[in-house]
Order: sequence, then C-alpha cells, then structure tokens
Amino acid sequence: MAPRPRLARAPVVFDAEAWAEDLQPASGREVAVDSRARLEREGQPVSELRACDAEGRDGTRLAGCLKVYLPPPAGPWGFVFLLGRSTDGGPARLEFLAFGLRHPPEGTRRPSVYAIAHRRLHGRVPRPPAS
Amino acid sequence: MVSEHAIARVRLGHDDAEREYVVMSEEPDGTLVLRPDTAAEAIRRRLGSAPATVEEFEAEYGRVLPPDGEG
Repeated sequence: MAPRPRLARAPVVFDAEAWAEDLQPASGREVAVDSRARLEREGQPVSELRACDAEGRDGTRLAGCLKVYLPPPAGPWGFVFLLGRSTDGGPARLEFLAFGLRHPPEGTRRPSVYAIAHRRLHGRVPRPPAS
Repeated sequence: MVSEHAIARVRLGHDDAEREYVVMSEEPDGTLVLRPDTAAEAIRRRLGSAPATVEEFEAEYGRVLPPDGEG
C-alpha cells in the first residue's frame, strides 16, 4: 500500500483563556486576530513552522514546541504551539500556547513570546543562565 | 528584577462550570487576586487534548524547520 500523502497544512486550535490573556496588550492585536482567522480558515502551512529551542539563550525551555513568525515569514511577533491531538483520536494538530513579541524592547517588563510559553509549560518564569 | 517563583492554583465552581485560576497576589486582608489558569496542562484539559511529539507531527505533515537559536 502506498504511504499516505503528507498534508501541507496543519489544523490549529486556540484556547480562549490563553488567547484573551495574550491579547490584553493593545499592540499586536491586529496581527494576532488576522493570523488566527487565517489559520482557522486555511490551517498553518507546515513550510513556515520551526522547532523551538530546547534550551534558549534567555533560559526558556521549549522542547517539543513549534513556532511561527508573524506576519510570515519573519515578522516581529510569534505564535508558539504545543503539539497534540484530540483525545478522541484524529490527526496531530497545533495547539496555541502563546502569542507575543519575539524581542520586546529593552527596559520593558513585557515578556517575550518565548517567556510566556515557558511560564505556561513549566509554571515558572524562565531563569536566564548566569553569564 | 524578575525572580523565579512557584504559581499557586485553585479551582472554583462545580460540575461543568468549574474553572481553574492562578493566584496572582494576596492582599493584607486575605483577599486573593485570581486570573484564569493558562498553564499548558490547563489548556490541554480545556481542549480535550493528548500530547503529540514532533516526530509524530512530522510523520503526518513533513519536516519542520530546525531551531534557529532564538527561543
């Protein structure tokens, strides 16, 4: 039997609580809302997905997560996704974990999208490695 | 300076209306400030999701781009 053809786009699901929390800052809202609408309508192109770093330079640990930059291909914002599938079965899917700036301006207390994702995964803010 | 700290969680409500919250702060009079729990485990529970691996994902959709050292 021939192998099943791979799909070019992956389904994405969003959690209302995490979504609402990440859209509280006014900036980036339009990018986030437009991107979510596109992903829910068309799915996420797999060619734009990138694996997160297992151990980031900023102390974040996001092994097993994928990310996409917004607007694609290299915008200043990002989504970080968990990977999962419905407990009823079905195909693997992307599950929204965090939205935010990739590189918040220095001097602000705003966390990066990676720091938000790390906190949600590990229950703690990331601890940057000692320099 | 941001310090590393544990996050306390509580559940309120009953039956299908139960929701999970994170304790943000405790006031001097004992009042707790709560916000909805957005931990990955809570997200998965609400979505009815079981974890999948990158390898499983790539078997269904093809290879993703490698990490770029940013996060």
